[in-house]
Amino acid sequence: MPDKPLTPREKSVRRHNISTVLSAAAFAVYAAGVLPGVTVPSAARLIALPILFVGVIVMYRTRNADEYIAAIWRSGTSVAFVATVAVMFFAPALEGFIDGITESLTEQPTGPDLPYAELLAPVAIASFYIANLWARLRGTY
Amino acid sequence: MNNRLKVLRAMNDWSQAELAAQLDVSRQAVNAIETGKHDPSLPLAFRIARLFNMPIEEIFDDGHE
Repeated sequence: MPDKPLTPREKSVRRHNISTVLSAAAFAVYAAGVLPGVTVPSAARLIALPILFVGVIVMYRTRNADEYIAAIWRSGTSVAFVATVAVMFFAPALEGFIDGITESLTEQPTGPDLPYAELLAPVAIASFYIANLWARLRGTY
Repeated sequence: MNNRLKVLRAMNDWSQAELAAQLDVSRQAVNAIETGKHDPSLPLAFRIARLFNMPIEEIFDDGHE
């Protein structure tokens, strides 16, 4: 017996879910390229970037496809926002605290060396996908 | 929040997809509500109650007397 045709809402939800998986995979490939000791072909990173970009656009356009999808989207975006604020304001303070302890122990001066501006986007995107996955597995609370 | 959605669906011999179509939500949403991973919005809770012709509090239990 043939399957029933999908409703427009089901199609929209399916588009959102497929976009989530594809863009998360594309982000993982792209981000892996900057990790030390991990070699990712530049062609793969080049392909990953447009997939991530288009995936995010499709996710955004279908974020209200369903109230469950909207709740998952909210979980991801709110965690990404908090992660962004945390990196912006608390990471420099934490680094300064750790550097202060290190300097007092080694008596070697250490300056700020974490590239916060470069960290912001990857941390925000990664935390979005982690929260998205968490909401799907554990619930949208 | 606990709910009796899965039992009520089984009593009517509906699949998750059939229930989802009647409630105008996705099958994933029905599954998430049944497994307690998502609490439905108030409008959806009313639609569920109307569909089964039952008061909301007989379908959903928030753990308070």
